[in-house]
Amino acid sequence: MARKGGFPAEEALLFVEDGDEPLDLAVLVDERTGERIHHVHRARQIEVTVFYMAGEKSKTFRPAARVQQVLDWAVGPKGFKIDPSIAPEMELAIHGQTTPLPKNAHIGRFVHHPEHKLALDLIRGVVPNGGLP
Amino acid sequence: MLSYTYPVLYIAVAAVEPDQAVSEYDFKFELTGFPGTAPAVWIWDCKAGCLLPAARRPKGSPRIVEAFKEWGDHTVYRPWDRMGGPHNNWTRDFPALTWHPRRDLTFILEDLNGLLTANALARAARADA
Repeated sequence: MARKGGFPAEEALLFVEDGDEPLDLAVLVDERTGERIHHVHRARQIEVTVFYMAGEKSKTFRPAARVQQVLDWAVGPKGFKIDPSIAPEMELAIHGQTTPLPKNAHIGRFVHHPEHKLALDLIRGVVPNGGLP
Repeated sequence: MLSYTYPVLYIAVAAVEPDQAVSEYDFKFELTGFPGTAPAVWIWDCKAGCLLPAARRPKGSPRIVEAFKEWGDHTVYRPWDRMGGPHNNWTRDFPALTWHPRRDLTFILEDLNGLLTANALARAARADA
C-alpha cells in the first residue's frame, strides 16, 4: 500500500476503520480484524476543524475515522449542538465547497502528506425537489 | 448484492429508522447502457417483485422522505437517476449529484446509504459520539 501511495513502507501506519490506535505490525494481526476495513496513512492523527455559521470547533481524529464519526461529533453536544430534528439534514464538505463528503469515507483520504489538518464546513444537505425552476 | 442478471441488479442498503432501529431497503438497478447511460433505480420489494408501497418507504426528515417519495417515473427521486437527472433542470442545478460516465455504482450506493442512515444523526445530536 505504501508503494502504491509512493512513500516508504516504514512511514506507513495501518489503522482499523474508526479504530483508536494504529496496529502494531510486529505482532500477528488478529484474525477477527481480517474482515474489517483498514486504512493506511502516514499521519498518526488529523486535526479537524469544522466551520458552521460564525463558529468553528476543532478535534483530533485518526485518519481512519469515517466522515460519519466527525459528523456525529459536529452535530452533537460537544460540537454545534444541532437540533435533533435538523441533524439528519446535515452533511460535511471541504471548507469553502458545497459537495457533501461520503459519510463512509475515511477522513485520511482528504489529507495529503505532509498535511495533518483538515478544514470542513457543516452544511445542510440539498433537497432536490420538483419546485425548483 | 442480492442478485444480478444483466441488465438488472438488486442490492440491499442498510438503514437507520427514526426510532434508531437498524433495517435495510432493497433497490432494483436497471443498467442498460451503463455507464454511458445513468442507471434507473427503484426502491423495491424483492419478495413481492414490485415497487415498495409508499407506506413502507423510509421515514424521517424531509430530505429522506423526498428522495423516496412516489413520483411520476416511480424511480428514486435523486439527480443521478436516469429519469430524475433530466427532470426539472437537475443536471444543471445539482452537478455534484448528477450521473456521468466517470462515476460508478459506489457513488449511488454512498448517496443511498447516506440518506438511509441520516436518522442516526438525531441520536448523535442528543448524545455525543
